[in-house]
Amino acid sequence: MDLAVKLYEDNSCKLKYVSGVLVGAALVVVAVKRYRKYKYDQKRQNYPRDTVVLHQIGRGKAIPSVSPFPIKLETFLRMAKIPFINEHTHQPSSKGKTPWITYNGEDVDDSQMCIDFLNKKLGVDMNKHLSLEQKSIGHAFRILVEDHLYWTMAYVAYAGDLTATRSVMPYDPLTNMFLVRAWTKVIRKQLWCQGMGRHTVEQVNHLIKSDLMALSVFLGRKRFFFGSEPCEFDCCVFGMLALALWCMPGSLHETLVNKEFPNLKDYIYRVRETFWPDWNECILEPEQGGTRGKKEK
Amino acid sequence: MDLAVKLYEDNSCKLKYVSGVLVGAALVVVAVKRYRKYKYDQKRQNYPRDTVVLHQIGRGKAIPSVSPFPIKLETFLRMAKIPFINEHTHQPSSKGKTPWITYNGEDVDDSQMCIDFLNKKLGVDMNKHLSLEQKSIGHAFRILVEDHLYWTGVLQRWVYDKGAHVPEASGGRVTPFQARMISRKIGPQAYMQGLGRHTQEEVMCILRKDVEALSCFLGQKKFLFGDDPCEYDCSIFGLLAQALWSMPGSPHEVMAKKEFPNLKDYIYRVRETFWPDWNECILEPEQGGTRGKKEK
Repeated sequence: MDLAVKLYEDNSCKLKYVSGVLVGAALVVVAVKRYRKYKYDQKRQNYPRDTVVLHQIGRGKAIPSVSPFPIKLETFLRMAKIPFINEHTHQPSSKGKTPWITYNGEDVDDSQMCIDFLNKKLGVDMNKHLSLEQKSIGHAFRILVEDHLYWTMAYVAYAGDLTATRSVMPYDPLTNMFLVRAWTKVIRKQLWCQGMGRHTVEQVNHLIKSDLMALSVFLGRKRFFFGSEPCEFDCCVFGMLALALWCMPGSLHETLVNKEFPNLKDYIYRVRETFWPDWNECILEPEQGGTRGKKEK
Repeated sequence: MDLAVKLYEDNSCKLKYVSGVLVGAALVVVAVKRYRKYKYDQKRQNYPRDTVVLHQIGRGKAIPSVSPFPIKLETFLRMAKIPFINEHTHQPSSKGKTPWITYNGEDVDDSQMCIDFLNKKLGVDMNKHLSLEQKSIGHAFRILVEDHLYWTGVLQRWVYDKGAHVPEASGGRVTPFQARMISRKIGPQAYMQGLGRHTQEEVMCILRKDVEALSCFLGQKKFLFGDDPCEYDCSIFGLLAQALWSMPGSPHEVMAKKEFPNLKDYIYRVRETFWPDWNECILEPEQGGTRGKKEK
């Protein structure tokens, strides 16, 4: 008490004390950061050689990820039979994006750049059976899915009522509330800048239907996007459509895929059976809020 | 002077004077706004019936518009032979977008929504000769051009070039100051959209893949799907025309002019087919345009 009174009355003592506390706190912060970096560098040194380390957010309740791009990338790794391990983390890449990969010490982000990197590094080409015209069509559909359909899904998930979005997030209620609120702010701004956020709900619904119809018509009765053999473009289409089916309850996307475009639904299940035979192990257990082991509706 | 001293010393007088000025200014602003609205409503009442009024920014130096979407929309109107008049204005739609249209009192914005609206209203279908599969492919290519290739152009024009060529390309309609202000806003927007997070080298690689896909699909065909043009040609032309005539020195121009000759031929073909009056749709030399001048 005497100390407190002394501090209150004695200015030079107070200043010394406060600056001492601040310097101490700063030193602690620096020390913690350096320790974390040391541990992180150690972890990176222990990454196995010639194995892709796929950094992605954690598993979902009914789907391996609540984001389409990790599913795309992981489907590609499985399709191309590239050895990989998952590192579930919220740590983004230097560009602030996720997922990203590390391969023999090299970091690459952006799902498509990861695929292009691995194609070049490992001499992989899951599109080699396609003609040049088919590749150009596949490229156009990939952009449709990743740069248009994706934004309609972001609109539905974040531009309006967040109840459905919160229900599929694999976090505890408090983290859920903060994360979803933080993401919503960012994504709504992204939607406005990109353009989708300037449309009405009715207009976005029309766009959703147009995109899914285009996909359904092009797929037709084929097993995969370009015939009986899968290709790289199937990874990105699957990643996006899987989200529609298992991560957007009550949405127009889910309704259309489930009911109006049955060939898309069959396609999604087909890709899942082909490349994700362990799907059940890649979703959360019931104790963690997941649907592992539960019968699908 | 005495009045100034009186005002300075007499607080109650000063307050009355200042508030009087403010109220007066507010009344003037309201009156001007109402007058402008009255004139605007009168103008709208005089729009011709059964004629599309296409609201777009003004003509460019060497191209009818330095934005791809007015060109897309106007090409569609010409292709479908829908009567229209242009109203060159910077006034955007209620969603803050341009171009937009008015048809018999109804306003519609977003170029694709305008086209869908007119297709429905007037029973037009420039894609009727296409199969369902071709329409699905056309839809995918339209999205590629408008939601992906478009952003590489935005980055080139407004971020890498910092809007330096826009004042000249627009024939002075956009001042250098405006171009700088727009350029500052576009960078963060492109970052939010996603493409702006890549390095310039990565964006150029993305650009090349998009242009290659277009060139490869077009091949030796006259238009995107053969000998007959379709709706999708409007949107591809709108964007590629920018590369050729309003992005001097850009990788877009180099690719369109030199590396992918079938795309260059295609752009000229669409122009000759639907814009025989192209020369009248660009600015005159006195306005900073290239009307009448030989193309390089």
